[in-house]
Amino acid sequence: MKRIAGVFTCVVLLHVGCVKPTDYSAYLDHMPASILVLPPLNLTTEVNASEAFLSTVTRPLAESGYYVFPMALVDQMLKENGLPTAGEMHQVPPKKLGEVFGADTVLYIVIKDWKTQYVVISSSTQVTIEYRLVDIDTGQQLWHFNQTIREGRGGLSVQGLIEAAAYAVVSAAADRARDLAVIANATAFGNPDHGLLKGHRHPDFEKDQRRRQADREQQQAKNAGG
Amino acid sequence: MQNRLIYIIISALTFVGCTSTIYQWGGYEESLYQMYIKKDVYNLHEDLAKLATQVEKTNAENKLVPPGEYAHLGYLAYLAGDTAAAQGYFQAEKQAFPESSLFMDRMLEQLK
Repeated sequence: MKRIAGVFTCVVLLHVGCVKPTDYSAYLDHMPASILVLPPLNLTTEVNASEAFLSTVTRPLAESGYYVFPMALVDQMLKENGLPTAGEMHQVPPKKLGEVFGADTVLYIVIKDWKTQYVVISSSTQVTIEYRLVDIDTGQQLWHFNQTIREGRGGLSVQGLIEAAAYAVVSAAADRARDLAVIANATAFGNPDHGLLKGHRHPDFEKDQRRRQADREQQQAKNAGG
Repeated sequence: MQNRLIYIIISALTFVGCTSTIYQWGGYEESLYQMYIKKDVYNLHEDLAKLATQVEKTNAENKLVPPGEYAHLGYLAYLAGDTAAAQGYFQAEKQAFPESSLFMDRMLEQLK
């Protein structure tokens, strides 16, 4: 936890596309109890990106109150059934996945961009991740978020230089990828305005549902009024 | 210094609501990370023993095992060739999380 907190102190978060309030209507109508996360699809050349997300996504979803299917077992099961890559897994119709796993929703994670720039001793990484939560029976999209995160290390100050040097020695590229994944997940799922709703195993589940329903009615009244 | 303070505030805001956790996480996510990223040094039997001990401790302390961890242990036990243990863990997952019933029944059927 200490290490994650350390990383957080150096992170700049960019929130993209939060102009109007998120519409949670479909989400509320199909309020899921469980989430099947497919192995993340990596469209970049960053070697461990998919694995970094695979190994960090369970915790924030479970702590949001959802049942999260066991990642490695799901991956293995899909592979044994003739789907060797994430790309192929993402092509399976949601309904079919529902028949196999009995999940309420599928979460698709796509790593769209991953750039690291090195300038002298400082470095910065920018990643763009797309999250899409889909109702397994209807195929309807319940929630969607495009997350862009930039993380920088080092810089012109003496402290920055020391930090960058120390980090380069201590932390391997794979660990950096994991740190970024943890941050991307936490900010995408946890944001009160555009994140996930609280699931039924969360202590604030009912409170959150009431608040979202009220928000929805208010929004509907506003739309009806012109 | 001031910059640092601002970042700390931002991180604190980002983490609102995550101060107390529902589950006892132990080494479940670390196990996934090791399996997938540190394949060359991953030791199945060591990992299985470690997670099994942690889960026992979590239960003894009346805390909650995270969703998926029993099933993950079942998978590790299966890989290690211990079918009986795998069955026990798949049952435990089903009992702790009925949401997993269909999937766990499928796994139990495969182990028969």
